[in-house]
Amino acid sequence: MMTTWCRWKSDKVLLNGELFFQCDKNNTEDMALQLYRFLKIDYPKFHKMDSLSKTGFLLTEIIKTRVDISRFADDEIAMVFANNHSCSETDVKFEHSYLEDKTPSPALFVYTLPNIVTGEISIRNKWYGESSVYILPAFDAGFFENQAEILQAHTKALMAGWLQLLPETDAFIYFAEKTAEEPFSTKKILQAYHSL
Amino acid sequence: MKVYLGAESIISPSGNAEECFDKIKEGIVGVKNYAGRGFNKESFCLSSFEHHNFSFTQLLKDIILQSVKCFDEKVLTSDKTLLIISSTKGDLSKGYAQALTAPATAIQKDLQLKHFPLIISNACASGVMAINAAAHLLQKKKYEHIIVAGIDLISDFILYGFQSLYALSNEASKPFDKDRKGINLGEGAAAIVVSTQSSAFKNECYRWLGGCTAGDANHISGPSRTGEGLYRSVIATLKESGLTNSDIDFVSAHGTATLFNDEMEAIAMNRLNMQHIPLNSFKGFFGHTLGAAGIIETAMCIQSMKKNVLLRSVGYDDCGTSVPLHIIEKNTPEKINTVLKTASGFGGCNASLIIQKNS
Repeated sequence: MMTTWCRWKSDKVLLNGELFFQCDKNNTEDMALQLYRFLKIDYPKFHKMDSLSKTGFLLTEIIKTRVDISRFADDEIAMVFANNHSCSETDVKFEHSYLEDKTPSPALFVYTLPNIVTGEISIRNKWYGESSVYILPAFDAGFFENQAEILQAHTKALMAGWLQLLPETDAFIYFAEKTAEEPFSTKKILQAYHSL
Repeated sequence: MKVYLGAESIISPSGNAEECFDKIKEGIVGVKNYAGRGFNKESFCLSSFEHHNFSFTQLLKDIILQSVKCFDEKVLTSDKTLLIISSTKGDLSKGYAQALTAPATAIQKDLQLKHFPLIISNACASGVMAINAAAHLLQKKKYEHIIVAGIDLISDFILYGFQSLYALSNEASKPFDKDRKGINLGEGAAAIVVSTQSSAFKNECYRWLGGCTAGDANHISGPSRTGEGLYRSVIATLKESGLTNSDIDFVSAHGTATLFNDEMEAIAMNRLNMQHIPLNSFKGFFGHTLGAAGIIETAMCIQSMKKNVLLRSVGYDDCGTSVPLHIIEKNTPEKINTVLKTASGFGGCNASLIIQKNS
């Protein structure tokens, strides 16, 4: 069943439907950095991440404020993420590095794959479980239901969601766990996604 | 529910699946040196289409039609059929934000597919993961047939990127060899039909037994020193398949010919106690075709099973890993019943699958 969810749209973040954070427009720091400071995380690797990885990382960290993930073994939490534009923001930056700056940047190139976000989250949490990234034309609750059904056989819990950054941040991650009585049930996904 | 696969098709600079099989067998190298392709006009060895006058979408369409022709063309427009596309970068001529969705939109319209294609983009593990995703969707009865197509083309973007990581070789690549210097990029497309109905295949089909992924939780662009993710992926795939390591007749490894990747794979295979099993890398012939690699190489595994030949690992001469592997040095006639295919990619993702003769 879906236990916890986090929704980041534009300048607001909701946790289980309640306002968790709102961007301070007078602050010169971007919203991702404001959220990082608000969460009081000390993880220097965060600052090297691209926007897609930062978004996935921060939403997972917010969910962890409500979910005790230490209950799970290191391969019992699977990840499935999707969006419709892949890592295009970083692609544009890498192209700029060789076309305009005349030096292809390896630090940017390594983020020009949309699944790097799952790598960053697995490194942060020492998760060795299943993970996959898909590109969908639009948010699709049915896709996530299918994935949850498939992953039931392989995993005890699921960190999944939609990491859309364009034209503005429209992200949603939920945590679901399989209980003895009820397998993954993600019918609430659609409702939660449309809460903002 | 049993899941079958076959109708394997390849469009590569070296030809189709049968032509590639014959060329590897005859010792013909599939890569060549291209002068001036690097960022500062360096030369690199690539497997590249010589006369590039087709679009990404045209190549994708061609490979789908070629594969489905060996199956049942009527299923293409069925509600019970899905297309899965595996690609890392898609069609960059459509702009970065639409590079993957634009060709999928075009192909759905052109081939009158009932469902929007499912696109998987998981770095170099994409192809193997796409086949596993197809099999798992079929097992859950979401569809009856899934066409899995892998495709990536060489671009300045990809070339300069790998060059910036010092990962490319200007000589024909030598996976697992002591003199390996890095990757040869390759391009191409491949498709396989995965289905619940063995009778729908026009030629021999094979069983898919299991396939799982695992993360390294180590580094986003460097492989694990201990092979942890690959080790865990293969353990999970063996378990799902109901097999043990001694059931595997042949391993089609990832084998990119970088120092760290090949070393990681050797360590993982030894931890799995599979170092004695005949193993090759197809990348010495095809180059590294990124999102297409897992499907091209699975198609070649099927060819090897069909023809009962263990194909040599192109470019390999001397052991170049700290722990030994049984690299196939000469083409060897052998009955191949069960094959393990592995792949690893940036993000620390590792995938594997097991296929078996359908007896």
